[in-house]
Amino acid sequence: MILESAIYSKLHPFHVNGALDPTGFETALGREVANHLARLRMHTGTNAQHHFITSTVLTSSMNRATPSWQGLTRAIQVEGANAPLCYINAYECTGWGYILRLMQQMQLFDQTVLISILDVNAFDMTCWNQHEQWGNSGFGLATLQLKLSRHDHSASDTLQISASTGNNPFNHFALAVRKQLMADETICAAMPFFPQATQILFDRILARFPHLADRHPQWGHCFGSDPWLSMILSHRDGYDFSQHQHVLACSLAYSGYYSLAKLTLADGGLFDVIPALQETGQ
Amino acid sequence: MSRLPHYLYRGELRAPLYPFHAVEARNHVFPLNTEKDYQIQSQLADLPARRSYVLPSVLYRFLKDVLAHLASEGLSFDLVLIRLGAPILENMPDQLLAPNVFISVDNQALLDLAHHQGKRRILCLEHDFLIHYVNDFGSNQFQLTLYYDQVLGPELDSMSAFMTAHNIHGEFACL
Repeated sequence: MILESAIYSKLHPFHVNGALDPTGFETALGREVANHLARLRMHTGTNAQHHFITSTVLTSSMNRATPSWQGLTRAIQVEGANAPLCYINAYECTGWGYILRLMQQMQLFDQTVLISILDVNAFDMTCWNQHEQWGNSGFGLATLQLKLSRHDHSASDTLQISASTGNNPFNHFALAVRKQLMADETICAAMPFFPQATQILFDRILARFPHLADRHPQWGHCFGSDPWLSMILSHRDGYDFSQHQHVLACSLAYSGYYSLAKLTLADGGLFDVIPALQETGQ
Repeated sequence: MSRLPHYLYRGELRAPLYPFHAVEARNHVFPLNTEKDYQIQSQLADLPARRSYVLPSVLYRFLKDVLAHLASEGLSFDLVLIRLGAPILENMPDQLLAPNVFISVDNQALLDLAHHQGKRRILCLEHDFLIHYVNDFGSNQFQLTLYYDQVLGPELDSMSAFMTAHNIHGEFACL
């Protein structure tokens, strides 16, 4: 599995003239997603065949009420981008892993696929700003450009989708990561961002194994974007990825589901934090 | 690409799915913490009615039981697409996390892709149950679509009986 590019933008609550505006929100969000797609297309010169959107935070708003999935889809199309295939929020922070598994199931090999991980506290709901399990939240949009090969389908260690059992999902999750790192010395783990108490646990369990730096103090918990943002920031900071052949993207959901994906970062890919349109006032 | 004949069940939930489950409950009002959150939410969508037929845990149990019933009838699927507006902070049973199951807010484009990729046996489940949760739903309709490369008969009767036993009233059509 190749990560051809990955970009991230911070997103802040949307207000239109200081008031809630669901229609304005759909349009604004559609523009942000389409902007990411355009940036990736411009850099890689590739028109992706399939696009998925996954989220943890956009839950209630995507069913029947506005802003709706259909409204967001329309807003993306208005910007000239293709409609996403579907919107997923059942798997919380691990949705990207389930999408990769679906790609395998559908045998979408050697095709470029885009995954947008969209977590925005659109209306500044206090309940989403922090949580005892994950600490401060970080909101934004990550868009990944990936390609699966046929080999990935047969390699059992490429993608691990599972659920933690027992009383301590963090422990179970970290042990699953360690198992992968023990089995393959070419891997470096990109872990989710959690508060210090959880990081201490992760650091203890993964002490002897390479893993990218935690970014929770600066970025908060960015839901499903964490491992991808971790790669982006490490890339930006000059981390030498060539010392590892693979990176293991790791996400853990509130409900205990976890996704682990072994992938290679493409040479010359776009790995960057880019300003949101919201930020630049465009 | 020609689409296979398929069987479509449309039904309506008219009473609780399972006996002894609360019809009215007030759990799972998440994630609203403060008065401000409630005020904001009420501007976005109506807050849930007091009446509720399906609790999130019961919904998961029902979906799991639908899959188990179809399996007991000897049916197997390349792909199961479930329309579900989760998460609802309730751990999904393993059956709903199986590799051939995919849950999303809208199945249609995925269904088209699955046909295009040559999948012959596809199950689509869509519910519109009224759930006691801030976001959800309302008309208590349930839809099950079977794309299958064999003629089905007794299996459909059995599925209809299963639905009736769970207070869902409807019928199959072959399309």
